[in-house]
Amino acid sequence: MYRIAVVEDDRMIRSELHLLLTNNGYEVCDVLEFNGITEQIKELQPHIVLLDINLPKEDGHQVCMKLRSFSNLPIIFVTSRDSDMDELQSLMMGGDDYITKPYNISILLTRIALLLKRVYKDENQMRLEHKGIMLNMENGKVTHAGNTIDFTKSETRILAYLFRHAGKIVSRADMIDYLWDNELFVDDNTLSVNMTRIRKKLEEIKVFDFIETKHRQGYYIE
Amino acid sequence: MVISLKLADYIKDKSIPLVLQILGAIAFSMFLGKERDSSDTALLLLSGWGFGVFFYYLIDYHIRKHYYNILFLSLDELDQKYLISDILLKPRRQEDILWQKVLRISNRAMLEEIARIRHESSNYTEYIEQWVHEVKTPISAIKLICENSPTEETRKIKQELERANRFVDQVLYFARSNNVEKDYLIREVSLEDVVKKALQNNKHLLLEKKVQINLSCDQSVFTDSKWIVFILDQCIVNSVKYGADSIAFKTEVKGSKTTLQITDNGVGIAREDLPRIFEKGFTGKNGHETEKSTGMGLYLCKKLCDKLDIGIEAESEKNNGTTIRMVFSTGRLMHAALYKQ
Repeated sequence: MYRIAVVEDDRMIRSELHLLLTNNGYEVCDVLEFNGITEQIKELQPHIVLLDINLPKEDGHQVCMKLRSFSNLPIIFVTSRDSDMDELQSLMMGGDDYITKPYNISILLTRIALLLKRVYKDENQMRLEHKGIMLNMENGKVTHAGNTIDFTKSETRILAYLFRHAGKIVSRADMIDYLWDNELFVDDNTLSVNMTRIRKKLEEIKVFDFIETKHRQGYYIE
Repeated sequence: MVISLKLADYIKDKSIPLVLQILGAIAFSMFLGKERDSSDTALLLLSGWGFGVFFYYLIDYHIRKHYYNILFLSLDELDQKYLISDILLKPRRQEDILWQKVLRISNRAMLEEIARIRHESSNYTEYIEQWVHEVKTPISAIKLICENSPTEETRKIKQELERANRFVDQVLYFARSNNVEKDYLIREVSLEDVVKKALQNNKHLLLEKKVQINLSCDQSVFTDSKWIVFILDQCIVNSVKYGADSIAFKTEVKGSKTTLQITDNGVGIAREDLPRIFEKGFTGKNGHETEKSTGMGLYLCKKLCDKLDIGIEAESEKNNGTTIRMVFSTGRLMHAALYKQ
């Protein structure tokens, strides 16, 4: 279980981020006191830090610089400032990534996962498993009972989304939403075509009736 | 039109001394006319007087005319005409010296006023920037709340948020476009990345209208990515507003120019409107599909493109879609980018 330290002065955003990251299987510790942020982070020993630039007492860039003086902890800047100068400065101060508000959560989650994988050499970040079906998000390989088949980028994303929402009905609209967040600009028809192809490919590796279609509601896996 | 001192005007100015001279001459000749045998002497004196006066004024007229010609010539060559009082040589006549002083004092006062207004306007821009960043925080918070509890209602809220965010961005870029400082950063930008970013910015709008997207952008250019994303946002919104249900983004390279082409299949633009679409406040005669136009979007695009040295043009046929082309010239901006490093 990875621990994420959230340094964000806006109460509402902080609590919503907390909820979001907790729901996605991370342990979250909030920094609530904006004096001596670096010392607090030292104590919390998180695996990754989400850092706002506009903080009440210290500038996020300075915090980052101080952190960098003693650790290589992965740091993602989350900010509402959108000037290129800020972005450059953030990366120059030793930030690993930079996301501007208002951001998409799927983008945020993807960036976190990628960074964790890169820093902690954790292959599982990009791997999902459900009912004996292994899905590798990075190379699009799907494995079941020793059989492997290649998925395209959009097929991989669709299956990953279904895996993550197993036991819930996923509406087509939500699915398309998610795909757009991941730079796959598909429309309704393309989604149907993709769905058909995914089912065919799953049958090739001996997975049958895995994805159900709920009439007028969407898709469902158990 | 060349401004110069006209002879008639000069004579009008000198009318009082001239009339006095003439009256004097008449009085003189009447006085001498009483004496006999002196008409020859009188005539001689009078013509001597006449010639003296005539030549004095003729020479004076030419000197003055020359003086004003030089003045207007210097004025013509000046870009900032209000600096004229600072470059003039000190005139010989006392009255001209006084006028020059008046001019200097009034110009200085005006320069101070301009400086004050510039300062105010940059303060205002700064405040707008700050305000925009502040308002993005609640927008982000609302968005996160919606994302954490996905329902049909929160989807609608997110759609409205997207719109609000667009308007907020428009304010930001309007403020930026009026700013004299160059607050952009030229870097190598992948056109595919900026198009994707713009599509994501307008995700809910595009999905609601079921717009088909075609992407074939594989070029990079040297420019400021955020400004380009904003410009693309405006183009996308316009396409949707005017009934497009498919938008294609394509890049092309010709010589030292890279073109990004945005083609839609909307209602298009009437031929007589086409030259005016980049004007401020121009809304055309098209039926508006969704919301009413402000005529700000494309005007801002043009303004930002001018600042970034990008050509922007539109091509359209009534009922046959619109193509917006952004032309990036590679050579000069590359230099600018390297020069800035």
